[in-house]
Amino acid sequence: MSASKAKVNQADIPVAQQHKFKWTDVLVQVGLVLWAIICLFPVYWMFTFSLKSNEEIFGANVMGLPQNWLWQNYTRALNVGHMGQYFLNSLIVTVVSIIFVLLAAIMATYAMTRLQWKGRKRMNSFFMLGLTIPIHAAIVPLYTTLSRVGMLNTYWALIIPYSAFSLSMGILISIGFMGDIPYDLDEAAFLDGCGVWGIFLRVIAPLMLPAVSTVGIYTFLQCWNELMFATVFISKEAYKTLPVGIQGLSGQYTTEWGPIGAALAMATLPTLLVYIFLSKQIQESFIAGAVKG
Amino acid sequence: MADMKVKQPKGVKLDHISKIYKDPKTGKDFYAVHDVALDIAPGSFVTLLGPSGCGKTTTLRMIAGFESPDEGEIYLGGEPINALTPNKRDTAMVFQSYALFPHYNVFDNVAYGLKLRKVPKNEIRDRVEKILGLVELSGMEQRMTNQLSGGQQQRVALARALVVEPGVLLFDEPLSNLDAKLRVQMRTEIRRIQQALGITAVYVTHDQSEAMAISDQIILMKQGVIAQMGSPMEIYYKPNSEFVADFIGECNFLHGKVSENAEKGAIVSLPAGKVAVRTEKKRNPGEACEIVLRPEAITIGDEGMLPCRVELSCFMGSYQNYHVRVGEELVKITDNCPLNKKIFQTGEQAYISFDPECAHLL
Repeated sequence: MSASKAKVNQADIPVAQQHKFKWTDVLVQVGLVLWAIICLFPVYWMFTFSLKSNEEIFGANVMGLPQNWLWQNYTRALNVGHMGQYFLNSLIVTVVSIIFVLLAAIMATYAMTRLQWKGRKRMNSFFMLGLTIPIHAAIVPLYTTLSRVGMLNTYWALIIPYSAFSLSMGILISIGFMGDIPYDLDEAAFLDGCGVWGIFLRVIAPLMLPAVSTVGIYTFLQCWNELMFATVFISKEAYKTLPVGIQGLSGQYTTEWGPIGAALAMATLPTLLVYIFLSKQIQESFIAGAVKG
Repeated sequence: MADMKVKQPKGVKLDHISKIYKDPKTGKDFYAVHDVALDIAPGSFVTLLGPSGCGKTTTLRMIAGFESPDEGEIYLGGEPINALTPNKRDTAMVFQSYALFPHYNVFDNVAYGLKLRKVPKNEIRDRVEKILGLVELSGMEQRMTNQLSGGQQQRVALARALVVEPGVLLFDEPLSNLDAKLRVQMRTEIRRIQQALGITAVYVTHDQSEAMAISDQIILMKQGVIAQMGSPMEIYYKPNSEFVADFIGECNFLHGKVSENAEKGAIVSLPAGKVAVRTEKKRNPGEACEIVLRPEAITIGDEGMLPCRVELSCFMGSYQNYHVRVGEELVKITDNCPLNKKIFQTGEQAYISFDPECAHLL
């Protein structure tokens, strides 16, 4: 194609599509840039503060890049502050909770939306009640129950409540996705010889992958950052999760803020990576209750 | 294609089946399908036709096993099947939405039923290749279903249903998602494949032209009951009610009274005059009746059987379309090949005529 042919005549473009310079557009762009700076500044500040000494943090260089890059803050956080152990504990609790929530949410959704049985609508309402229970109201009864069954200071003390409190939202998200899968697929698979489990495992579950990632991310954010249950139900050092561990650091290292910053940076890194690579699914998980179901 | 013949096509018998649902608004029970009795011969192509809500899909789903009849019994190949689940019924179905598994490619979609039946791998490959050849999709085995056009997806759905060699093949409005041109092409394809395989087919549609084009027999349904069944020609030329006549093609109704019985029919007295109509049943003189006339069965001229006044005259290319007033009744006429004929203009007086053999008395 010649250059003259490729060149689009401005007159050929519909008026509605022609871009005209507007000052309002510039103002909007400037506003958005400022808003991005406001949102990103705390992250920048946290990472720079994790590499500074107390003198820099509280002195003349509060906002600038570190004058001396103190990478040893990270080694101190890992060795002295046991951040490696806390990180591992958080990882175990979060991953197991995500697995439980995904399994329970997708299987429960399948049973409530695709199978015909008496009471399925009531069961759905029962699960949705979970969305209305404030987490704080459950602390005392949960503590008493966990204490009686001897689960305090174990991973289960966090995994079970985390899974239970994320399940309702997981089901709500899954119902929206599963409702979009045509019932003809179930019937076609059934005609071909699939049973209930076969339809679930071979047809429905593979098509629920977008919901799996959305529910997984939602549960991850809930579990990874949770502080209250972790503070109340865990007192042994060996089972503390990252938020509790970092809180403990501020008591022990009040004069050394650099390692605390390093611990915060390490704790935030997985969440940031999830946001960077899976932002679409995160947005879906946030609007799931408003649009889906 | 000789080796692609179905092993043994099966007949279907619906022995006075009914399906009752509860009306969600009133809470009262109503018949979605009521006392439907029919016999479908092995190897025939039967269409369940009717407007929305007439019970045709419910009837099909009862044959498939997705709904169970509240009354009556269904037989497949002479065996009662009410108690059998869909996967034990020797039927396959082509769905309105195609119901292709989006996470499988064409080969895996077609092979799915064979894998579940634990057919050896070599045989699966051979059968899938043959059936994809039959539906003209050879070479597309590795394509994902979302990379196919609507027509190709429909062919995959057809192949998936055919590959398991069912005794009866069920179609639930399979062409309704296609554009008009492709619909005509695909219905010819479906008929070709059905005839090639000699398979029994039960087809649901609300499109009367589709039903006429492909069926050995049409079952026309209305409000859960069979309004009429017969060959497309019988249904078209000998409708047993105003509903049937009106649903199948365009139709004119002339209201009158039987004047007297003639040797091969009856003389009907209309406000505009008397006409002879062929009827097999003897009618009582004085009995109210309706003459059913297809627009293409009527001719218009300076002389004829009944006087009329032209209210609309419209050239349509292959035919001249007239709306004429006969007495108080509006009559539509399709006058084919108008090139060397006199064209009547709006407001002119004329006469209509028809062959008594082409008129039907209700």
